[in-house]
Amino acid sequence: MQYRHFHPLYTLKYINYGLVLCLLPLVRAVLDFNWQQFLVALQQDAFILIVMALLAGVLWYFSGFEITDSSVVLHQGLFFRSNVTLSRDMIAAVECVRPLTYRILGGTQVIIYFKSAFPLKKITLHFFTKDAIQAADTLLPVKNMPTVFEPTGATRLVFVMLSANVVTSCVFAVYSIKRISKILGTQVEEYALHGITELSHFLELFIPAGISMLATFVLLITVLTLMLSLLRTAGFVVGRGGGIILTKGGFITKIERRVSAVCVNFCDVRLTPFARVLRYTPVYITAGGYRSDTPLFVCRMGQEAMLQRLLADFTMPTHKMCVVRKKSLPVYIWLPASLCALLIALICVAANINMIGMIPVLSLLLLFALCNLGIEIEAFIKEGFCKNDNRTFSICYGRIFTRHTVCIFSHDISFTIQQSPIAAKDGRCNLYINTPARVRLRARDAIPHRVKTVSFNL
Amino acid sequence: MLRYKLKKRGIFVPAVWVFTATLILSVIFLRPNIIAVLGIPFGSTAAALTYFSLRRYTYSLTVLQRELILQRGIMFTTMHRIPLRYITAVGTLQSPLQRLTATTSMYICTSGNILIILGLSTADSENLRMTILNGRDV
Repeated sequence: MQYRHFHPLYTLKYINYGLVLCLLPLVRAVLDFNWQQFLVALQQDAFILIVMALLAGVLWYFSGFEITDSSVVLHQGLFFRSNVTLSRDMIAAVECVRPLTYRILGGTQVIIYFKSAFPLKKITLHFFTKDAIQAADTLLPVKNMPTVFEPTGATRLVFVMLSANVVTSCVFAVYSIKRISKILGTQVEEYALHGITELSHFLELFIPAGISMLATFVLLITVLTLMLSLLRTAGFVVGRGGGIILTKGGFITKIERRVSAVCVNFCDVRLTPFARVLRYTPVYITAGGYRSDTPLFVCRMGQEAMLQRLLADFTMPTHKMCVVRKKSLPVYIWLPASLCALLIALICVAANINMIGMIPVLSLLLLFALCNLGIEIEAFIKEGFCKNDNRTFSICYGRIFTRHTVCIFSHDISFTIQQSPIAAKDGRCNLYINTPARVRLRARDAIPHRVKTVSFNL
Repeated sequence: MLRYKLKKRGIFVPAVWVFTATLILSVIFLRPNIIAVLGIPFGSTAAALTYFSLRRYTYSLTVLQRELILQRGIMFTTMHRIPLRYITAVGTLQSPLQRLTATTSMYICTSGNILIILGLSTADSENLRMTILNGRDV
């Protein structure tokens, strides 16, 4: 047991706070609109940064950690010293993230997720790479890890497509453009918009003019998302050894995740539109404070039992999930059906007032709304919950183009049952299952008697 | 099976909180208008008292051998089923006003949820706390 310091990147957090403080003098100078004031503000900013850097350095010097046989002890703080012992039985997952800059500097960001998301979900630390590996081995040791899943060939392509996340990719793209324009001092946004306009003019040669701009955006987002997904999932491997599920992968940012198999609260088999086309389903897991953003596994539809190689208790629902004749269709379709009606009305209006250019865009939006309506109708038929033969719970629900089939392993759950007066009269209720990950899973139109009598696993 | 209900005096405490908060806000924002300054706090307190009285009749806390059931709601009902074994913390809070009325605010935590119960009598809350703690070991 030897006292060691964190990586100097530990100071980055405090320097970031300093950058936020730097905004105050600058805002004052901008409001006064005075050049002299601006120069003074810059001097004040430099002073703030130097002070924050010194403070961060002192804090780094007085902070450190010790690694014992079964725990990691953290010592932090200058005036108020905190000594935190992280032991194996508190931890659900450990994530070692090494972006390019960290790799150059020999550091690793270690995110430790706790078993329960309350009161503290995770803790982020900065270690030297050697120390990070030792800490991860202490907290969640992996022994004889046989590879369970390694996407190659066509599976790799499927995995990339199913791992793609449009929302994070768009946020990443916008953030990157802003950062680049700040660093280079040029209007990169204008160049990007110019490029998009040129591309849409080119697409107008092949598709109707009204839809070309939308098609350009869809094309760009798809390409960007797939490229990011390709980089994120490069060299992706999943294995299990000694009760730990280990995933590794990434090209620019290398990520290694260790998840304790006994701490997995539930796994979510998601049937997205892409998954329906490709006939493969991605599987995500949640363990305490940890929620995976990349699928743990992709398997052919109907062969979900293969997941038992990673999670032995996993099963698809073994009993009937719901009674369709006791359900109410309007509960499911009121929103997507209203949206469809609105879009149809808008198309009619556009046709009447000679705005033909709007019709292709509105038709495309109507297509999306109809897809969502279809998903909700499917949810009407399939949404529900059941207790499986192996004492796990299964819950199935539809949400935004996706059907989720969740297998809950954790016994530490509670139920919340909600009824409106109409639902009470019809003998229906909404069931919420509260999990230790602080995630509430909802099944609409469950049968109250079944929900109130199903037994917990004690 | 043990059953607990909210006490009548327990509902006066949140009504006093509502009165104090609305009085302070109306004094700050509606000071020249005496009718508004007095009318809004009294009106909102009357509404709060009506709401809490109705809620009191529909609020019930039942402890079975292995689980705790909490039912509440006037029109839109909510029922919580919590296994006693997975309750992680039980605690009580008492304000000076609650000490005067011998009532408590109680919180029950599980790893995925927190329940806050206002208006239990002190004796009931202590009894419930002991029942939950003993029931967890069954």
